[in-house]
Amino acid sequence: MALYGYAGKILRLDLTARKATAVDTARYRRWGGGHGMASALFWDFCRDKTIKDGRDPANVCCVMPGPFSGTIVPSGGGRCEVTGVGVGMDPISWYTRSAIGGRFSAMLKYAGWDGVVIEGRASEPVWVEIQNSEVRFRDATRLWGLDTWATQDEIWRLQRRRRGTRTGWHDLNDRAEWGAADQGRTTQLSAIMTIGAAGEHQTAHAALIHDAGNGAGQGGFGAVWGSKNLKAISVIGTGSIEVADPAALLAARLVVKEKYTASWERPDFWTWSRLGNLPRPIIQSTPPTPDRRPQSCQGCNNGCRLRFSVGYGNESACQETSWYAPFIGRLVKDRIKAGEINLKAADIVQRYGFNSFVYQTGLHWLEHLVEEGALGPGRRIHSDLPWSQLGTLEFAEALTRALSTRTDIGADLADGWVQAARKWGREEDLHTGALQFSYWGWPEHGYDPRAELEWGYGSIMGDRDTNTHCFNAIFTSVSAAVAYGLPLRLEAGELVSLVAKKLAPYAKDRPEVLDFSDANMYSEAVAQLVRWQQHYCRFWKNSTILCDLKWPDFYNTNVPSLEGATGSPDGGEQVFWKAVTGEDLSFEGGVERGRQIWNLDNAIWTLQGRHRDIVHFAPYLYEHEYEHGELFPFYMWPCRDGDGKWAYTDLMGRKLDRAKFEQWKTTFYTLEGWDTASGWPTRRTLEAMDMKFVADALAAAGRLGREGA
Amino acid sequence: MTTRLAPPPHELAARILAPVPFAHRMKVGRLVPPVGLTAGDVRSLEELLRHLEPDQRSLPGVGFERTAAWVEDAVGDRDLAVSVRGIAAEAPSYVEGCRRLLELIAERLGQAREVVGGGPTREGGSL
Repeated sequence: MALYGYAGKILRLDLTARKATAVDTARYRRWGGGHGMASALFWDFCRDKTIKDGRDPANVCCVMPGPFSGTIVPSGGGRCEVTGVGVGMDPISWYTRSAIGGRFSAMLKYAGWDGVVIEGRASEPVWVEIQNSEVRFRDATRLWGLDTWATQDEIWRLQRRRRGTRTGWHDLNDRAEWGAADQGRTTQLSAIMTIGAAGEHQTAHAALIHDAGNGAGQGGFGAVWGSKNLKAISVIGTGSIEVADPAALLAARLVVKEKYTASWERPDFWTWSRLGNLPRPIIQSTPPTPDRRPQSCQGCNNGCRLRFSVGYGNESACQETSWYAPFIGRLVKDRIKAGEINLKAADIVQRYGFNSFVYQTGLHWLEHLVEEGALGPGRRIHSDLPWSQLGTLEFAEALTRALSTRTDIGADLADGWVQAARKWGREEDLHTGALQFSYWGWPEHGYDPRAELEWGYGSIMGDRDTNTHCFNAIFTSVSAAVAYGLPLRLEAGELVSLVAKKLAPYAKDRPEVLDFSDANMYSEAVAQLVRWQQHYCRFWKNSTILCDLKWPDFYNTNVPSLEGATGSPDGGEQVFWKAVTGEDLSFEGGVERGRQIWNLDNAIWTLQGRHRDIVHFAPYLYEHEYEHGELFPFYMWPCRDGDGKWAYTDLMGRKLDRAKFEQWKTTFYTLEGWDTASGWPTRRTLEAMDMKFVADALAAAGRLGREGA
Repeated sequence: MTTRLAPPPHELAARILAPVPFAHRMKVGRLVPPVGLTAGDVRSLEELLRHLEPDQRSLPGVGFERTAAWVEDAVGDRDLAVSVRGIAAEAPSYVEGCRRLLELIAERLGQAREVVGGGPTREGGSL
């Protein structure tokens, strides 16, 4: 029977024995793909699920595309999930996830693989070359020490493939070692995922990098690869993915383009939609040059990155292009020059394989320590870095080099920033907010948990900064409209009704779940919203895999009905699922699968040592208000007033109440069917989801939740 | 934009052009979708001017009352603070307020530079 949407086998790499084997994908079909399959593979192949540091050789790292990878599902063809136990979190580095875009996931599937399971530790540096069904372990001694771009260049050179496609087709039969089977030909270069210095030195802020600017940052998976002596994986494939109903897939994609996406003929740059915005790089870009073109992950209908004629800043699109900007203005007045430094700073972190997300609040903290006299040459926290040059390109490189190579203050920060704060005697900074690392040792993202509840609560009930943009377009769209004095495209009551229509099954037609007012912020309704977000994402977003920046699409002002594509009968997630896999899975059925994956993840966290007693935010969030007007004049969100009337309301000016949040956790655990005393899954809940094997393992470990507790 | 403020005396002009100590910096932010609200700070009116410069990709984040208080307390320019409060009261939108604030700060810096005779800025150059 054809397994539509899948290649049919998963590659299992035992780095210790340098052995590659294939696992039948069908065995893991119930988990969908991506994150779901990865969690199940981790469950099966990780021998010690109590490990608390991803650099432990027992850790199992999965690189997993989903059924949509390599297809034309809009904003779904090029994403790839990376999972395993992370590095540098606090107090425990959880089993966690990251995602990366580009063309790696598609190429892996074209080579015939639904994912890669990485186990063990090589005795010497290796890189892995995958060419269709052939897999080779290569000596990476000469690659070790190269940055991520140089590594890719060198691998392409070793493969004797020239850049670009102008040189014509590459005959993959050019090396005798591949054997008699025809390897085919292609116009493509291998897709390579690699680590840089940050990964080689196993630092908590080490990322995986692919092509120029695709990165899996959170989780420290670069350090996981570094600990395994794995420098890179290169893959090239000449196959394809058979989908169940190509006509239905094409029709649904056209619906998304023609019905849900803003028209180029009559462009609306103020569309309220996630899926339906126009590519923004064309109109919304930093200097230094107007000569640029959009670039996207494979198969995406919305190029959100750029390639510049100047040759730097290519493919970097998100946080990496903003981490240094606040500091450049201190020294550089010219906007063009500032833009150049900003984009070249993005290139620096990409080349070192460095997750610049830690800089977002972390660099402000380091500067605070310098200005306070605590950090610098001869100071209590000694550093020889040229701090007076903060804002220059030279400093950006010096700092990133130090943090990537465990030199200077990088020696202390390499194992986690919160841990370094304690080592430096700066725990007070977690109370004052000078160090805004909000949850599990990760920085605040830009959506403060005191205002945007689903982001904060979702992060702390999960394993990392959630980086899940399901709902926060509400904040950006409304706040931008208010800031410009523009008419609101949707009134608050209308917006919450449209969103709630899509929140099946837990919150369907319950708009109160979006009410983040003081009166409702610890409610059962908000708990249902967070549940929906976690379950939806675990399947529809992280397993199929859809782009976080485009899905879900709740409301859409390009459509007369104003209803977004999510769950819709013509362009909803389940439409693409059926077209690709042939399975008639409902939208709600996908959310239910997400619940199962979420429970499997919680079982892993439970085995690692999670207990509700350690599920709490950084102290500053309970002790200090989110100050009005500090970062922006308002944080607009739909709320109900005392009469039950909806209005967009500013959520700044409040802090979290520790006791009330503890009550909210109890509500959340109750709704999930977990032990409210520990937060652990219970047998009844697990067996109702056909997950007896998980309940048995938890019972054997003495960590099964009590029923009715 | 017409000048609304009398030129500052020499001592104040020097303060207008100088950075304030780190402890007296003003925290600011920036709305950068989809990154979110990113933090920053300014330590001089020059830095505030650059922070307010229009950018297609993002919106500057400042609180007008906070800015007025900072101008008054940290920079020491009471007249400018009054004008900032006037913008907060009169601007039809936040973005228009930012634009007016940008013009106001630019004008004040120009006045200060004229008073001190085009003296050096913090970076040793001139705007």
